[in-house]
Amino acid sequence: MFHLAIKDMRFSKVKYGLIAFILFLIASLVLIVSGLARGLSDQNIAMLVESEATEFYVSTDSENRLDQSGFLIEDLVNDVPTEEGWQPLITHPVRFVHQGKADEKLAATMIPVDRDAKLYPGVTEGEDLTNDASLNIIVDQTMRADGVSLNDTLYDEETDLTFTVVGFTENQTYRHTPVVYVSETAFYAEEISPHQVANTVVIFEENDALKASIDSVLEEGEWVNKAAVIDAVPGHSSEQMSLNMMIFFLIVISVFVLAAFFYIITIQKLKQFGILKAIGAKNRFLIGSTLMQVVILSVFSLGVAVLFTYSMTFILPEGMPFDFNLGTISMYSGLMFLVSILGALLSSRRIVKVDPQQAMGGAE
Amino acid sequence: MTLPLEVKQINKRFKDGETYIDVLKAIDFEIKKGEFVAIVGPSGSGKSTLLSIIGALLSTDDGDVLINGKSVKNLDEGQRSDVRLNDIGFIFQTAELLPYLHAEDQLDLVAKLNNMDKKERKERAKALLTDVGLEKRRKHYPHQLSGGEKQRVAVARAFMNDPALILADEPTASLDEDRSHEIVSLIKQEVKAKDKAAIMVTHDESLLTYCDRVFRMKDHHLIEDK
Repeated sequence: MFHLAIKDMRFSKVKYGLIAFILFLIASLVLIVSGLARGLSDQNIAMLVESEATEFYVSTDSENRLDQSGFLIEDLVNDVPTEEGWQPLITHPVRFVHQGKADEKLAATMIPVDRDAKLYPGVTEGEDLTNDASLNIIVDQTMRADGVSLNDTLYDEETDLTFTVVGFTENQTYRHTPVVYVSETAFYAEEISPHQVANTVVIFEENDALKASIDSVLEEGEWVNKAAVIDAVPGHSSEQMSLNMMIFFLIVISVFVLAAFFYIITIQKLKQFGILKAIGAKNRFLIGSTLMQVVILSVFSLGVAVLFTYSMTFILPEGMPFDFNLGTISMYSGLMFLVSILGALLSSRRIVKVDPQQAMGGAE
Repeated sequence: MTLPLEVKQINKRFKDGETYIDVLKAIDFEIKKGEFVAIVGPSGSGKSTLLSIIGALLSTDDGDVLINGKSVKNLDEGQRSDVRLNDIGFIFQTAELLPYLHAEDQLDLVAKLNNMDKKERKERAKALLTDVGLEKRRKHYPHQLSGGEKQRVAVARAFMNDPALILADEPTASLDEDRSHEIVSLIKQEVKAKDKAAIMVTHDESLLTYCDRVFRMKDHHLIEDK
């Protein structure tokens, strides 16, 4: 079965080469779009995905959007100490001027944290934050693409403050901007945001008593889970939906293209199949070698497509949100593989229906 | 001793609109080993239908066909397929080779379907291609062979699984006169050398001299020339 499949494909190189090429193109597109979808998604919500917070207290009329939610938390800090398991989360948009470097401004999301708090992700390079009022910041490593390196200074016009980059962290992006962590002490000492305000209050494990007591102090809010907050991040659902729609249609297209190709090839070979059946080949053998060809073609094309997509990660500019994720890649490759088998199976019905008797009396 | 082929009282009707047309009526004959038999008759007389029934490609309405003593009447499609693979060698009007296999692989394929071991397959294919005079063209693809050479490969392929019965359906239909005589004498030579039974359907009277017995289709009956 295997040898017959190979010999046929080697003989009709152009025909099978074309199918392999088309499958490769569609598969590459699927993989690249999926990489882009993941990359964009990461840029928008990675900070929330990575966060240990499980429940968020948001304003009732905020539609779960953190940027439209806000509370004064001075009373809460006094009534319910943070030691009970909650923390305020402030996402403060800033625009930095990278001093001594490019003129363009760097958008970022500033989050004040206590270095011992669960919201603080730690550093992958450089030094941790200190709990004093020094204007040191930890920035997400995507800022490297903008030319930011350790000990660079970033100036914020709005507050007239200059921050020093002391460390890098990773997977901390929010709303397509890198997250910048600054010490809580410095944040309030410099009055970067006027009072003790927070966009939301988060807890890290289910605790109904705590939720109730926070609710009774803050009022005018509700508890929602992390998934609801992620869904409400502006642009996230629409971005992901349109990209996933593209992937879905690409896969549907590939079913039809491959099914049509294999159907035509099968029809071209119906006479051969009739002869082979007449001299004693069984349906199982004929369908088997047809499927074998599809398996060989798709394994080859998908393999090349994965390599191509991987090489794209080197070619694409560094700031491009593109995530080559093995889980996603193998999921979509597997899906494309199944789809090609499915496309080929559609023509096996024709093989079964071939009547070996047609081999006889061809001219009559 | 079992006969390679016994045909017992075959009738075959085809439906034509509301009525039935008799194609074959009371066909009854047998062939011994080493016999090369011809069936002649005009187009549409039912020669190919008869050959299809004998070749387990088509079922009969009445009667039975015994190949090597085994009835093919109540076999399912898979078992018929096995009978065609093991007990019958087919030669068609045109060679009907697979375009992507060279001569030796054409023979190798049918033996492989029959699970013959690799060494035996190689040896048999080589010997048979030598028999039909193609030892130098074993690695040639169909498009590199002439019409006569292709039909020689087809003849060799028919003998590959050592079948009891060879069925040739107008094997010279696509060949010129000289080539036709070559092919038919080649079939005869192989049938005699390997002691097989063979039936050739033809309408070329000049080829009948190669055959031991001649049957004619007449009014849906099969009558032997005496």
